[in-house]
Amino acid sequence: MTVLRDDTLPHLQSSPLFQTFDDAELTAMCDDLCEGVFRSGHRILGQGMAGMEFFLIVDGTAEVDVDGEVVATLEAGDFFGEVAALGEGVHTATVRATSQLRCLYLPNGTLRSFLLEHPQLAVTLLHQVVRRFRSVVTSAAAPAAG
Amino acid sequence: MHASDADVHTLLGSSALFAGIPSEELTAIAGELDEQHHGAGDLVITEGTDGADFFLIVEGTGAIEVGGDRVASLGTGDFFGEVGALDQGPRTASVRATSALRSLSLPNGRLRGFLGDHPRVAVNMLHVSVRRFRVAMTSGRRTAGRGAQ
Repeated sequence: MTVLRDDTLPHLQSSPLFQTFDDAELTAMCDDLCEGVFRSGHRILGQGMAGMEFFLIVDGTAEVDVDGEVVATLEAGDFFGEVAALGEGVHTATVRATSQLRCLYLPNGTLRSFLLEHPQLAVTLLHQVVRRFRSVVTSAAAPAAG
Repeated sequence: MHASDADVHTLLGSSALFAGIPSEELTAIAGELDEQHHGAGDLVITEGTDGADFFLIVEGTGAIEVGGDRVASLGTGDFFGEVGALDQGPRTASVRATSALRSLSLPNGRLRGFLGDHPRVAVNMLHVSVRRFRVAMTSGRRTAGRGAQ
């Protein structure tokens, strides 16, 4: 995992999660983010395991599985890890790369303070979490990652 | 019957949902909220129906019902209605007053704009919504409405 700072800004600029921020604010955020590149088939986080990173996919695809069953697929612009990062630190699903997967991520436990510094991000995240909540309660399958 | 804005300001200041919000901003927020009273047994929101009001309980108790079964209790400081208010779909659960219930509310669909204006509230709300999502994920659809909405 390497930090490629020059590359980070364009990814934030094109991400739906960060549309409410100007370039100055996005540039400041780059310092807080790490970058990870994961090989196809590798597990990024595991259901029931501890971890508090928050991931944003910038390139590639991943699948979400709950109890061994694939419930959703993720692609560039999607995020995962927020349930553990904001809650008790235990993942509610497994996320596995299905191609080479490039992510920006906030390291262990920093999502909380990052949101306090950039509260507009919470507005966007909240909409997504609510949408995922509705999907879970209205269908037997659970479609989202934690 | 509507309480004074000063009274509402005090209620907001003691609510976890508005923790960390500066006093002047609470004053502005107090001026945006309606107040609703429900009697014991009244349905405040009804599962499956459209509706986008958002509620914060300031006095009294309520119950979340899914398919007619009570799945969770609500009390002072709890909020509900955010799912319908944010994604405009039908209510995922009913909420019934289990005592005289006093709530502050944002009318139909106003929560989206409100959070844009007061994003710190979204940070506080997000923590609760993530917890509700976790409950839904781990306890299955039957009890999932425990989250409320």
